[in-house]
Amino acid sequence: MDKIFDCMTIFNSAPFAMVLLDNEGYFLRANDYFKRMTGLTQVEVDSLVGEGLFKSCYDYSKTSGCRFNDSCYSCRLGWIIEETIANREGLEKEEFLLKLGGHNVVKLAHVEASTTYIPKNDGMVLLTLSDVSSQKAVMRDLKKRDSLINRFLMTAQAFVLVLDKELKVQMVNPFATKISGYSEDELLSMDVVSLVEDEEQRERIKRNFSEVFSKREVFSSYHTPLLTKSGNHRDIQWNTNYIETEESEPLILLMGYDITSEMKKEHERALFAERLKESQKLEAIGTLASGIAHDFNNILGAVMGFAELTLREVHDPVVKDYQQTILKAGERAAALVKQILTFSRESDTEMKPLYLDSLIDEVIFFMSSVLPSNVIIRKHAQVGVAPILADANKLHEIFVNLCTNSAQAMHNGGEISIAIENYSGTFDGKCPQGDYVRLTVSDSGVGIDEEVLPHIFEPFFTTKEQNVGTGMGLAVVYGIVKEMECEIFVSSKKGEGTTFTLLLPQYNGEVVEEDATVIIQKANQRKHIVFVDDEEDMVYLYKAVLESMGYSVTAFNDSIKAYKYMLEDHCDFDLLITDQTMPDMTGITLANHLHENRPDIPVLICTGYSTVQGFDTLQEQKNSIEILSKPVPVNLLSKRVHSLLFPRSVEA
Amino acid sequence: MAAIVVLDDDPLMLKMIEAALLAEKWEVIALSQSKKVVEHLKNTDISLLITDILMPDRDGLEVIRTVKAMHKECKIIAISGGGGMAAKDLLNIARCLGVEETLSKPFSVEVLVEKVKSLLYDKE
Repeated sequence: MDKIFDCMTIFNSAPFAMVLLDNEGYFLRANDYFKRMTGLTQVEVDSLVGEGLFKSCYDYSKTSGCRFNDSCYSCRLGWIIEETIANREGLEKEEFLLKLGGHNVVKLAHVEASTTYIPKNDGMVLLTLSDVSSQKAVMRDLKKRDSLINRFLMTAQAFVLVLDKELKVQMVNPFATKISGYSEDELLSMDVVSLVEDEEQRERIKRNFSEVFSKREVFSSYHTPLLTKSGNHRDIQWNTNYIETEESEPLILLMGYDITSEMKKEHERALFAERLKESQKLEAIGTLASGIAHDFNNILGAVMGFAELTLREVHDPVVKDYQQTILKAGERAAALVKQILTFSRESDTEMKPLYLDSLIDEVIFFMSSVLPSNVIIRKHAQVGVAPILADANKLHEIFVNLCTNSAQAMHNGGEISIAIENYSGTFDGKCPQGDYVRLTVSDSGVGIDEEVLPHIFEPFFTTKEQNVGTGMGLAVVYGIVKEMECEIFVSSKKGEGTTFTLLLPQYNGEVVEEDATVIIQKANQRKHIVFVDDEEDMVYLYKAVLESMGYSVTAFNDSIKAYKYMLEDHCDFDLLITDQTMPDMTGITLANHLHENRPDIPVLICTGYSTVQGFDTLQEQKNSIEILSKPVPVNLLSKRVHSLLFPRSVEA
Repeated sequence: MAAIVVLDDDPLMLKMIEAALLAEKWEVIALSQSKKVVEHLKNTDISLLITDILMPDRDGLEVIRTVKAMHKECKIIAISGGGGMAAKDLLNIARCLGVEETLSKPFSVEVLVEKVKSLLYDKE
């Protein structure tokens, strides 16, 4: 009795439902927890005795399940019981939904069922049911959160890497594979620090990581360039977090943001600011220089004027020579002032649409006769280069200056390459987005020192020996470039050469091109020019240039000799080109003497004085006298010479 | 022939131009202030004015305007400093005001004398 009582007490106080069924699955008895779980009363439970409570539907089949519903739980429970009876062996933990609350109240609960076969009498089945609804709910929530986290990892626009203590990759997300170019497997098996390009930084990061593990704390974000599988660079901003949970080993969570485009923009902004600063500096120098030039012209005017006046009064040849030297020096100073004014954008420009292609031919034609023979100039022109709006004479001056510079950088000879092509873009953010014609003048010379490079456009900056250059050549180039509203860049490598790049905005209108080749062709009709200048270098230079244009040239570096030649030769030539300021006889005096016999021969006078406006009156009196101010660009000289020798072709 | 008035605030230039004209045996009045030109015009007749157009005390262009208003037959040669911001533009404006000749500094004495001669001979 006591034993039975004890068994019943234990039966009823079990914290899960127990149901005893006979060997055909009919209800025998249930414990108290069953009532609590199902909500049935004692009377209701008692009435279940002998009932086939958990019988399968009549046409339930093991393979296809209940014909009414796949998840007919009473069928499944019935099946478990039948199996237990048939195999005389219990089944463990079958899970299903059970309708609770008797016949009226319907409450679905997740139930875990186990069966035990009791081989007593004819055999019985003990069914244990426990409600796992609340566990199920927790699981469901966990699953939901898991998939949310997973989705975040899959779609995050950030590099996610989880590292363990050995710095082995435990987890990566798709963005990481996309940016790095490595597959997930590759990332999981590689030393992730090797993604960092810089070795020094690699070591530092490793040290930082182990510090994170030893100190068990987060350290701040940092930026490092990353080398992708294909060898590209990406700038990544990293955040490192230390994770420690009860379930897992300590880990590092790395979150990286791709800031490559931001960095590029920032870089471009910095570059632009640098260039702006540079151009403002040059502009300031220009303004200062032009202010000085004004006063300087006053001083020069007085010096040269008095030198000229004195020259008339003295007859002592020594003093005369001294005065001449003063005048010469003055002329050179005046030419220099003119260059300063060009640099500070204060000379006249005449912008016309033109094609660079033919202009370069002209330049190469002229320069090759002026440059040393071991320097070759070559043109590389893309087909269909767009026209530009520019001043042809000023462009000539740019070319002459750049080519002269290049030639001087190639002591042992070499090649100057002039290339043109269409270009669209910002030139690494150095100029506004647009369509340009890119012009490059490159040499294979000695190159420019890195520390010198930022200064080369400054006036009077020169690395050449004294007397070789004035230091104004590139400053003049810069002045013209700014005046024509284009851009110039220089790049150079010591020992490898220098490249100047000009970006000239493309011109969209029509181009009526002045045919430069006509000048060269027509010049082939042998015209005879007499050239007079007391400076040997000038005589050499211009004789070469004029001869290269196809003229025959008789040159003198002495005005008296030239005068004598005129007398003896009965002035049998086509044009006189003379310097104005020379010892013994000025250019104008020489011209007057010529016109006494041959008023029909045109004269071109080159002078260091400012361009003399209103020389028209003199021109009317003295037939065909033209004035050119020094320094005379070769192109301008060629045009003037041509117009004086072939006046009709110009009119036509 | 009446005198030639030279106006330039730069004493060196002024002296040089004066010397150049005196060497040609012309009568020259050299002035460094523009208001003196107007005073002179009230009392004396002048045939030619040579003036700088960039001067601190009074705009050279205004002198040109005043002189042209007072003596239509007075010829003028305008000189620009050559370096000032709008030197070339100023010379063009001067032309519009009726100036006969222009010169940019530095200029040759020979050219100056040629210009003066052509203006004076034209007149006579």
